[in-house]
Order: sequence, then structure tokens, then C-alpha cells
Amino acid sequence: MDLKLIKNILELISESDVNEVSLEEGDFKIKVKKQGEVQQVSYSQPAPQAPVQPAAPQAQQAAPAAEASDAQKADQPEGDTVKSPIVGTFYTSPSPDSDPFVKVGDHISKGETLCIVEAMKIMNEIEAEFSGTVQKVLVDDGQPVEFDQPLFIIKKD
Amino acid sequence: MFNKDTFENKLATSWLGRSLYFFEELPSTNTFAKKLKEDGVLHGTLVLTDVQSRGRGQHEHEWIVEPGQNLTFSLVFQPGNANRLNLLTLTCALSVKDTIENLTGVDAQIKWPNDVLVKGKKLCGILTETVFIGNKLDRVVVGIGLNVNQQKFSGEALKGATSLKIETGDDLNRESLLAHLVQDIEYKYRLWSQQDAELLKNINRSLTGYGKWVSLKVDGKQLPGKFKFLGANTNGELIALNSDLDVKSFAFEQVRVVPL
Repeated sequence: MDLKLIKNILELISESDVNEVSLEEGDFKIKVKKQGEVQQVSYSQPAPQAPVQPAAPQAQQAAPAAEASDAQKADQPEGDTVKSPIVGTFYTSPSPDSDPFVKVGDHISKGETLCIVEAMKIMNEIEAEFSGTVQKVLVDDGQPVEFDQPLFIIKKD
Repeated sequence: MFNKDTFENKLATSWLGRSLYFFEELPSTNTFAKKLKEDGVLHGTLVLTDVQSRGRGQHEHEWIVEPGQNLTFSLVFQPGNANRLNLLTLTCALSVKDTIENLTGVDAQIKWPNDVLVKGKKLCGILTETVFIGNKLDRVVVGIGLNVNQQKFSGEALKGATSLKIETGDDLNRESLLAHLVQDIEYKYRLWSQQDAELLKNINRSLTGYGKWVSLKVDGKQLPGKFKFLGANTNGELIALNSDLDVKSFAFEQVRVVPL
């Protein structure tokens, strides 16, 4: 592993949301941890048998996380995700006292309004691109949403 | 009664208002414009009614005015992306201000983010809505309600309202006023799409509280301290300095600017 590679890894991590990365290549191990703005780098070049042991607890830690994300995937109904095209506040209905545009289980047609995302008093209506059945509403009414945040799961007809 | 033919004869635009839907009565011009099928709507479509029976303001607040006295219409734009849309609302507000100033001499201000006031009273309200098909912006609908010849505003919601008739004492020709206004919006739309620096300056100079110390209410909550209101930046964000002169910007929040 050369210095250039390490530099690239550091750059990749600093730009990403990842906080910690461990890499192993033969006897060479590198572990990078992000703590707020400060990056800590630690190297180790252990004895030939050593890599197995420190690696083991990490593998154990990683396993439950992987299971959890599998479980989450199984929990998530199948379908296409409708994402927010803008940053704003998510509304399920046209006004506080009216019924929501759509509910789980509703069949919706192409062009039907799914929700409103409001930003700076501009009401942005999101229409369905395709017909299908609403599987899940992923955001609560009145919550802020980010650009590209998943809002609905809809199973296409 | 609004005369559609007179209006069309006076209209000197090249694209804005050339596709016109006129109704003697309509629940809401914005709703009609949003529901128009894709093949029935063009960049520049104008939807106009003499009697808007279910006009809306913020969050469906009803905005009902005397029939046949005012201007209630919606303009459809298809800019291709949703960038700086609140500056488009403010651009239309500036057109309202400039047009009435030219025609009547009435001095108006723009109240962030979507009203036009005369001496603190509401003359015009603008409601901008968009339609996205999935992730793609299909159209922007700018709904404008301008009080023209109405002489009395009763009821709680309308007590802070005024009209051009109240301000000038004269009846105005609505067809001519609308033709001038639409022409000015067509001109300024081009400036908006070119990100014209002079347009932004003119918008900012017309904002109530611009350059002054104000208090800010963000998403319904009063922020502590006072702020120097610097208007919008090129991205349409509201910019203000706090009392330590740190720059604060607001990109999508509902901000109310309250002069101190």
C-alpha cells in the first residue's frame, strides 16, 4: 500500500458521510476514524499471525449491522421510490383539515397528486409519473424533507 | 364585466398571455391552470376570470373579493427547472409595483415573499404553485390577485386591504391595466431567466424593511435579536445580518420580516 493510495482513501472519506474505515492488505492494516472535523489516522504493521485477532471483533460487529439492513430491506415493501425534487416541508394534504391526497393501499393513476412540498411559501405539487398502488408513505405530514429524500414507495401496475 | 376582446386588442406581448383561457366565473385560476392537461398548456398561458369564487391564499386561506371589480389571474411558466422560483414571485411583484406606479403614480412596496402593499395595506397577493411530474418540473403557476376598483373591504381577513380606487379615487380600466401588467411581466421574466443583476437590485430596493433593522419570524417562530434585512441573493435566499454582523441566510423557510 503506498502513500498515494492512503492519501486517496483519506480524501474519499473526508468527502463522504462515512465516519470510520478499516482496510487490510496482507500484513498492512489501516484504520481511519473521523471525529468531527479532525481525522485520526493509525497504522499498524503487526506480527504475521496478529491480523486475524483484531479483525475478528470487527467482523462480529459488522455482522449484526448487515443483518439489520437485510431485515430493513425485507420490511420495506417492493416498489418504486418517489423522491422529493426539492428541499422543503412535506404535506400529505392540501390543507390542515382536508383528507390526505393518498393513503397506503390506494390505487393511484398517472398524474394524480401525491403530496405537496412547500418551500418559501411556494406550493410544489408532486404528481405520480406512473399508475400503481401506494405501498408506503415514508415521511410524516409537516416534516422537513431534503432533496432526493424518498417520500413514497409505489408498486407499478 | 371584463371585456376579453378589449384586453386582447390591447395586449402587445409576444408570448405571455397569447394562449388565453377566460371565464366569467371560476373557483380558482391557479387550480384550473394546474389541472390543464399537458397538451392544453403552453409556456405563457394566461388563465383569467372575472369572478373567482374560491380564491386561495396561503394554505388554502380563502381570498374572496367583490366580483367584477378586480383582477384575478394565473400565469403559467415552464422554465425547465425549479431554481430561484421565489425570485420569480418577487419579479412579478415588482412588475405589479412598477406598472401601477407608471399608470397611477401610486407608490407601492413588496412585502417578502409574495405581497404588494400600499402604505402598509395589501393591494395585491401572489400565490406561486408548481407541478412536478415525479422529479421533473412541469409548470410554474403564478396566481395574482390585484385589487383594482373595489371600494370597501369588510371582514377580519380583508381589513388590512386596499385597492387602486381607494388610493387614487379613480376607476381604472382593468383591460388596459392587465395588458400593461402582462407586458411588463413578459419583459421582466426574461431578466429573471438571465439572472439580471439590475432586476435583483430593483426587487431588493422595493422590499419593505430593506437595509433596515427588522425582526424575523421563521416558520412561525420569532428569532431572538434584531437583524439587518439585506433582501434576496442571486439564489433567491433571504439574507440578513444579526447584531454581531454574522450573515444569516434562509433558503426554504417561511420568513416573515417585521419592521422594528
